[in-house]
Amino acid sequence: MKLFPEILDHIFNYLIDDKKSLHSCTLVSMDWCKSAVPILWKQPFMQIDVTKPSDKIIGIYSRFLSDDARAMLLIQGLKLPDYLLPTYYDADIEMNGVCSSSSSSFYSNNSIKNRFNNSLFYYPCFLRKFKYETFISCLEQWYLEVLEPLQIIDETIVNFKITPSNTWHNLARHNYNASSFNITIPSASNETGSSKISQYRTEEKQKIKAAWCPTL
Amino acid sequence: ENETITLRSSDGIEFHIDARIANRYTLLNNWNGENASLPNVTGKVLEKVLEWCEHHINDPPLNYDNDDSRRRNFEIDDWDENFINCVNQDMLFEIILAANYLDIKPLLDIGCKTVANMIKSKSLEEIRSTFNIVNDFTPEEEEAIRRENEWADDQ
Repeated sequence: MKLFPEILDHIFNYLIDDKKSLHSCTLVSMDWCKSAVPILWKQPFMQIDVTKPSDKIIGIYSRFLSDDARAMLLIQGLKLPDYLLPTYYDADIEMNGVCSSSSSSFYSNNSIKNRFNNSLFYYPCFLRKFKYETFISCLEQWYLEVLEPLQIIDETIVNFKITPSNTWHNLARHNYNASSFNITIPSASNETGSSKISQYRTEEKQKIKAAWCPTL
Repeated sequence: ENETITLRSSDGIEFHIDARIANRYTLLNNWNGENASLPNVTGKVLEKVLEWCEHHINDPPLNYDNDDSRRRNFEIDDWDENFINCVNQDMLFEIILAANYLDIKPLLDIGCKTVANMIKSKSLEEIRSTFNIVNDFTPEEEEAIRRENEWADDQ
């Protein structure tokens, strides 16, 4: 006997605080998936533990960034993974003539195709409840995992003072931790200190939400 | 004044129900004083549903204005738990569908919450076998769903 979507929605709503069970439901069958996904993505940042932020969820949301938002990140000097470049962006032009061989242009076509989002669901549109603090910690985690390794270390601003405990890695990480605030919150970059997250004005929260969750 | 309605199940069994039951539920109430045929509900299922309704005939009226608060405050009492645990899974699903069709919200809630509890803390394979559901994803779709929802699988 099959339960139709309206009933499945009703059932899964009782599991809204149980992301693990909802996750299993998304994989049961197509029908279950179509009902469980909107509920799982209704308030994801309420379900993620702020002390165990997930870069993966931002990775999925990032696929839905508009070309304008992607271009804005580029303009701010960030190196982006290929799939996050604006869809019209041609890396070959920037690389000055590296494109002449046929294998390179094949790669480039392929990677442009990769920039179009082919996710099964339009995940951002399911968001109903938002927890800013968890969102920011996930965003920072995503920066560390995904963006930071791509950034070229600008030696002029790395602190060369060598102390026994300071490895190269630590130096780089320290430096880019600070700059990660510049991408997420462009309008608040002159503030420093980790406690500032909670102090952002509503207006700035709105800007971030507007860039990341256009449907809010 | 002591009106009744007659409900006829899909297999032709007639049930005469008290107006006080009908008064509690909008859809039943609309049929007050009439005969209604229910093409979607069998006699066996309708009997269970009416058994539930009769037990709850003196419950205070519920406020359905806010679906969320109805869910939050929701607890299954002992009688209901016993009632719902005594039916097999097919009957449970039938009762849910009938409660939905007849717009008997508290019974729909009990049924859905029971199914939710059956899902909790089961693995994917256990869920599929419990509810006898065939995996109809293509391998590519399953891969994509797994990847796109991976964040929820932590811990």
